[in-house]
Amino acid sequence: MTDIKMQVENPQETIEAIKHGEIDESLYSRQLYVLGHEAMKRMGSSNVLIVGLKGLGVEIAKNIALAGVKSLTLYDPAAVAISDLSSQFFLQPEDVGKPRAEVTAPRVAELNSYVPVTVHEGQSLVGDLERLKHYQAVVLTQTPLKEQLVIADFCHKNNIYLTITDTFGLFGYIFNDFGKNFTVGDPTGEEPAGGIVAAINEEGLVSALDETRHGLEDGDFVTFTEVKGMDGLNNSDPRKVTVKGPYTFTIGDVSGLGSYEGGGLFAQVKMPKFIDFQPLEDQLKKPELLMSDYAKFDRPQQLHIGIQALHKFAETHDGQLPHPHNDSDAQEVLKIANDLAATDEEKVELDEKIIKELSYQARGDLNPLAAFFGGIAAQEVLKAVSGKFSPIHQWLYFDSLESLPSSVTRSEESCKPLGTRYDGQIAVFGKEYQDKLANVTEFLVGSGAIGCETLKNWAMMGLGTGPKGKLYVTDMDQIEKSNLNRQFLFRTKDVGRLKSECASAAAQAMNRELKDKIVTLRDRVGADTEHVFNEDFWNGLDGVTNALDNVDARTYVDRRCVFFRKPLLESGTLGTKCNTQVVLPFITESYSSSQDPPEKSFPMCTLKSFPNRIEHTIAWARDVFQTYFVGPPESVNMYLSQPDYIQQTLKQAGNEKQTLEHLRDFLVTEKPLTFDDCIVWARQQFEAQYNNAIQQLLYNFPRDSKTSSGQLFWSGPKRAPTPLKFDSTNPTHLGFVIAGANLHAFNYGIKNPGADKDYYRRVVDDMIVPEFTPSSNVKIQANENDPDPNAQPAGLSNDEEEIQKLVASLPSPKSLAGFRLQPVEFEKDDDTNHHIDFITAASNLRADNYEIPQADRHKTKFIAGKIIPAIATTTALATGLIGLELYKIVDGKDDIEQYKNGFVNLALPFFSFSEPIGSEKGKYQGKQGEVTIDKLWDRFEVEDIQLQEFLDFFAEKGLDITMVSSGVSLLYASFYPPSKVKDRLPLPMSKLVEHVSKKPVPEHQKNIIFEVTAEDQTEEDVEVPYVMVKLTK
Amino acid sequence: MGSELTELTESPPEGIRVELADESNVYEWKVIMEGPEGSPYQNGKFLVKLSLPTEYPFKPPTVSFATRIYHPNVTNDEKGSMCLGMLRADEWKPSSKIAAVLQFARQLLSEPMPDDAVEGRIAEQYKNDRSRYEEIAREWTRKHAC
Repeated sequence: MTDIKMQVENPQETIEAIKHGEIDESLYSRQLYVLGHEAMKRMGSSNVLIVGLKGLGVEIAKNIALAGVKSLTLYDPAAVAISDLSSQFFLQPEDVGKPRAEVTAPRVAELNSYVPVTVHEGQSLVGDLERLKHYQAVVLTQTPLKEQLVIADFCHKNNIYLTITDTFGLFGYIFNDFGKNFTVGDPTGEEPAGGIVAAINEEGLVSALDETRHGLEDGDFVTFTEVKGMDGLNNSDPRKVTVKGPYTFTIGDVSGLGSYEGGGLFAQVKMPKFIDFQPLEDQLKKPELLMSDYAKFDRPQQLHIGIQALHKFAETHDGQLPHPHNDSDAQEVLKIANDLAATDEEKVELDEKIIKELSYQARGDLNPLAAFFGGIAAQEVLKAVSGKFSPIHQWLYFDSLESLPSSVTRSEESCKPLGTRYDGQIAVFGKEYQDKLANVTEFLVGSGAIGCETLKNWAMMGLGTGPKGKLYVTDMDQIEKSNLNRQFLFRTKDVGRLKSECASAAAQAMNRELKDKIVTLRDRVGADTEHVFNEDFWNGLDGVTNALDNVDARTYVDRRCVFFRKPLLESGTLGTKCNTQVVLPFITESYSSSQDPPEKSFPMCTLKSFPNRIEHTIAWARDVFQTYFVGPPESVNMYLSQPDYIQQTLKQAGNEKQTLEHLRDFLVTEKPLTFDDCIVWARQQFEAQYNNAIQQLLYNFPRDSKTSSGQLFWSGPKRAPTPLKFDSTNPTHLGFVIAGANLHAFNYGIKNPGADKDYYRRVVDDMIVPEFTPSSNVKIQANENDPDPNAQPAGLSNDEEEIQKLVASLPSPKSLAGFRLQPVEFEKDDDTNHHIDFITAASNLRADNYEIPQADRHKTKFIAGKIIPAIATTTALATGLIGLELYKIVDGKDDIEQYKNGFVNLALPFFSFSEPIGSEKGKYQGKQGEVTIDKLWDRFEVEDIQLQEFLDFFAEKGLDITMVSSGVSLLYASFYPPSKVKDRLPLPMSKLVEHVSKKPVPEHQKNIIFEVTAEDQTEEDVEVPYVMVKLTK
Repeated sequence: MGSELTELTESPPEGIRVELADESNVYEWKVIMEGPEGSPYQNGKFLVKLSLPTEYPFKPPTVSFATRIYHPNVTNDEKGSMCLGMLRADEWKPSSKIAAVLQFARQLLSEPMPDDAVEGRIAEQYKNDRSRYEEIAREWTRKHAC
């Protein structure tokens, strides 16, 4: 074995970290939220071998290197051929003739300095099987079936996890053998379900509170806490669940446990799953097949035999697979397949067409297929070594025959190798189609995780490399360290560089034919950049691919694509889940036609006084962070810089007092001069939030108080709180003070004198904190924002006076010339800025108040920072699927049945493909009878006519307009008084918009969109397309 | 949304008047709500702000009292936020109508729901010292809403 030199910035530190089994959280941050610490530690002790370093092998190597294992070893002594470059993104033309693994290893090693990448030497694997014992997991690609069987047998006997995968043109498969009794620690990766108990009857039927879904499935296990009456249930062994309905489930026999009185929480306990894998030899005869596409339910059996036939063909042809689109080879493969089928127990009836296609494409090497199977195979290896998520049991076959072009004719002549880097693709689609791909103009929106993978795919496919081809890439972000774990075109030295530029440069290095073919932009695509992405820009595109990370941007690009009638490829990932969507003008619905369920939000009343989950206390803590360190400092700065700020504030009814009090606190009463003052301030906040406010709450609602219906007030979702007594030796208590003091000091630009924990402790232990007495005496309120009802009538008449007093107490902005506060900008990924530390401490202290189990910093950061978990495997897979759809779009297919939207969850594993939904059609009764419209893609187009003419235009069509709006402005409504309408009727539409919105139409804008509501000839409200008014400037 | 506005403008529910706060923004509505008869809010005219998200009707509108009001279910601060179950993102149904939301809000003025209070103290008073609650609520109505 040769050690390839790694590129490590700080080798000593890296080695130390590896030794201690530590995980570099800033690098692996997003992936940690997918896999968890435990699984990643197991990966960190595993050695993985990858055999075969063509496109598929390098995809797997890339994904595993990024994910992080103890070591990665590559085996492939064969010489690089030019056609390998069809999908092997780490090879260059000058590598032709050199051993594949050797040239590839150092390039894979660059991806992750924590993963040493070496080459497994030798000319034959089967000749020296013993050496495989060094590995915990082995992946075979490009390996003859005979050798597969020998290696598989050895691995099965020696408990080495084995994955075999290959692609043949648009076909591919994967096989797993993880041995007997393989343990899956966490089969789904989902958060354990849990909730509040409303009742448990004597039959063991549990009802969840307030009709909240329990989220459990049959066979899940739960434990209980805080149950009153049936006390024996608390913390007992996990009970197996049978689901009775969305809100109820049974837990078996509960006799002898007492009778239920009230309260209780249930929590799911994840139980390990055990799976038996059979060896390859048995599985070839009797395959266990996982379905990838239910529309092709009989295809796995076909391909299972067909691919064996390809191997048999190669055995009698000097190891060579059938020639591209060669009929005599295809006949031979078909004959072998039929012979195999005849001896098969299942008596599979072969589809001649499919077996022949398999033979035609056998030498094909398509990058999207490699990306798809590379993502899956890498995830399977991670499952094997970590026990996280359910593995594929045992075969998965997949094909994308729908991607075959129909706009060109394929023949042996057009598919023959030409000695170019695209020969692997030409073998499947032919030269003519390759030229089509080369002359496409495509726009990639975003060059983050999906963007990097997509650019790599395009570079391999040769998209946009032709004389008429062009690629546009935009991204406004700069590279951050947490990106490097999956945005594989970026290296440590690139941190801080612009993503779009760096990614484009890397893609051009992968395929030099992209030189001068990529236009790199740095603008966000949005309403404010329509002068950059203007009408000419959009009209010049053939299509758009989204690589975005947020719904707003997706929606915007989608709307533009609908407007300019451009096909759009959309995808997104969430941990191990991904979805892909195709949007085709006049054929399918668009991204915005369907909506994701809204983000879960919590009722304010729960956050304010009645939290019962850690998510509630984290949301509350995030809010406290805002009101301590962001809001008031911003108000102070406005007060100091805007001359009429007080007058403006006083105009806002109800708001003025609080704002003025904040100003007074921050500028006068609580203004710190030293760092010690900041520590004192933080300690006081502890008292106010975790002791005083809680005491006051309990004063208003004593523990034994009852609701109007006679129930205990503190029951069900309302958990009775307990005040906290500050203890400087408690790390959470002190942690709150430390983070709070530093952030307060940051607001004032006060330097931390290098305080250690003892320093903070000394300051807080020396303080005298006044005792709090909850009472109707409002002057010492727990929370000054809460007016006390008992004092209100008196307080009311004093309001005006009090406000004047407050105003008078403020120093004049002039006396503080040049003084400004520094509001905190929330940044979750900087571990030294105290932001997440503060939120973690603040949330956990409140959790202590309410006896809610605490969450560690890692989990708090995840929830408070709304982090999207991400892993390279899923991203690679998603872009592979998108690539398969791009083939269809470039071919110009207009049959919706040929397209596929995908949804995959690698953890389960679950694959689902469906035909896109067609765009919605509508109709209305016009003057000449019924008119059918495409509700999404159709529109009316008119010149910049007067409103009256506009109304007449529709009246002609039999449509009576009841409302006209543009953007958020309402321009005309049938219920408007005639006087108002009269002035507007003669205005041209553009002037009407300017008149109502009070804003000029921007110079670069060539049209304005109007929405109208209308009644048709039957006086029914009808939905009509929008109206585009063309401006002539 | 357009047709809802037309309908609410042309035939509003009892005690409720709806208009756009500003023609240049169809997402911000101004609602004048009359205090229901028999409640301490009687004779009061409350300005209620209704904001529609751009995703409406897939996401719920938000309702807040711009006029200060003394009520267990309305926050006693500058926000005047209302804690309405049906307006929570996870309970909102796209088929819900704004008219129903407004009627429900007005109903709440007649019959507060102290067990779902945002203002615990007012709720406690409502339950234990009704006459005092009504007195203050009337006083506030006179001061802020007439």
